[in-house]
Amino acid sequence: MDKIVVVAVGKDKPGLIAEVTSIISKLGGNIEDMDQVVLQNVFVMSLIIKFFNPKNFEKLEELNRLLIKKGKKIGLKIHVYSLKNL
Amino acid sequence: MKTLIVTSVGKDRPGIVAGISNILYQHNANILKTRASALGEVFVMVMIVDVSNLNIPVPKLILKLKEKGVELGSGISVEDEKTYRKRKKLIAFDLDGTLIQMETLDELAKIVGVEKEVKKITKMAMEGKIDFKEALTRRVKLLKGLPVKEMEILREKIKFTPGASDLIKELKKAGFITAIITGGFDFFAKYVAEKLGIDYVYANKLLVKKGVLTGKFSGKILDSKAKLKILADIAKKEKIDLKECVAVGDGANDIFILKSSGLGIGFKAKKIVKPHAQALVNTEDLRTIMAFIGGGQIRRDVVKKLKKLSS
Repeated sequence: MDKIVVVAVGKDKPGLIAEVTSIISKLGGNIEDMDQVVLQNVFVMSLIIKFFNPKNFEKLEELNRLLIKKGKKIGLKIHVYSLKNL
Repeated sequence: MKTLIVTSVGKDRPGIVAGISNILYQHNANILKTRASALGEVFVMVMIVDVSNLNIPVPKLILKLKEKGVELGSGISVEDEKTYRKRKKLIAFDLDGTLIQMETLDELAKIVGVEKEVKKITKMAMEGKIDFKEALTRRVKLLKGLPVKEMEILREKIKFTPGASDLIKELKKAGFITAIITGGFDFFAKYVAEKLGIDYVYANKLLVKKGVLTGKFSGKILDSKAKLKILADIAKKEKIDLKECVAVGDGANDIFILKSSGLGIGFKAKKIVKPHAQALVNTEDLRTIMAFIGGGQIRRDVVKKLKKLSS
C-alpha cells in the first residue's frame, strides 16, 4: 500500500490543522507521521498518510482536489504527492 | 503567552489529530508545534498549544480535551508547560485497580461470604459518596475471623495489570524512585512491591490474632489525606519537590495525591477522579503512561518501547 505526502504552508492562524486533518480523516486517511511548526508566524506542516482501505487510495485525486480547495479558502498552499512518485 | 502541552496516545486510527485539533479550533487555541508518529499500532502525538486567546476558561478546554482524548485514543495528558518540563523523579502507585487487576477487599469478602455487603460499601466509597475511612472500617469489620491462610491463597492469585513489570523496569532504568501508597492492605502491597521491585510501600495493616483477622486495623488508617502526606514525606526524605512526583491511581481516595503531584495520572479512573488528573489512561496497559512522563526523559525512549509494545 503506497503512502501519500501532504505539505502545507501559509500564514498562521487557529484552525489550520483542524481543517486539513478533518478532510483526511473523513476520507479514511490515517496520519502516520506529522510535523508542524510555526516559524515567524508562518505555518508549516508535513504529513504522511496511509489509507486503511486500498480503495480509498484511489481517492488521491479527490484528496488533492479537496485539500487544494480548502487551502485556498483558509490561506494555505497545499501539495499532495504519492510517496512512490517522489 | 500561556501554553499547554497536549500528549495523546492511541491505537493508530484515523481521526485523533482531527478530533483534538477541532476542539482546539472551536475554542480559538492556536497550535504552535506538533510532532506525531505512528509506531506499529500505537500513535503518539505531542502538541504545544497557545491558549492566550481562548473563548472559554482554560480549565473547561482541558476537560473537553481529556474527554475527547479518551474517546478517541487510549490516553491523553494536558499539562502546563512549566510542570511538563520539570523532570520527574518519583512515582507513586495505587494498588487495587492500578498495579493489580483485583479489588482484594472484594475477593476477601467473597471468601468470608459477605461479598454483597462489602461491594456495596466499596462502590459508594470509590465514588466518593461515603467517607473512605468509615467505609474501610465497616468493611474490614465484616472480615473478622478470616484465616490468614486464605489470604495467602488469594495472594497467589493476584493478577498484575498488563505492562506493570515492564513499566517499573523502565522507570527504574530512568532513575525513578518507586512507591506504592494505597488504602489497600499491606499483606498484598508488600508482596506486589517485592515482585515488581518497588522501593517504598505504604498500606493499611490488618490486625491478626491467632492466625485470623480481628476485623480491626493495626495503626492509623491510611485515607486520601494520609496518602498525600506520605508522598510528601517520601519526597522530602529524597529531597524531591512534589512537582517532580508522578501519582497514578483510579479511585476517590487518590484525588488529593493526583491533584498535588507534578503529574497525576488517572488509570481507568472513576468518574469523580477524572477532573483531578492531568492525564487519563483508558486502556488496560500500564505501559501507556510512559508516553506521559515528561521532559523527554522517557519520551525519547518511548518510540522504541512502544514499537515493541505494538509488535
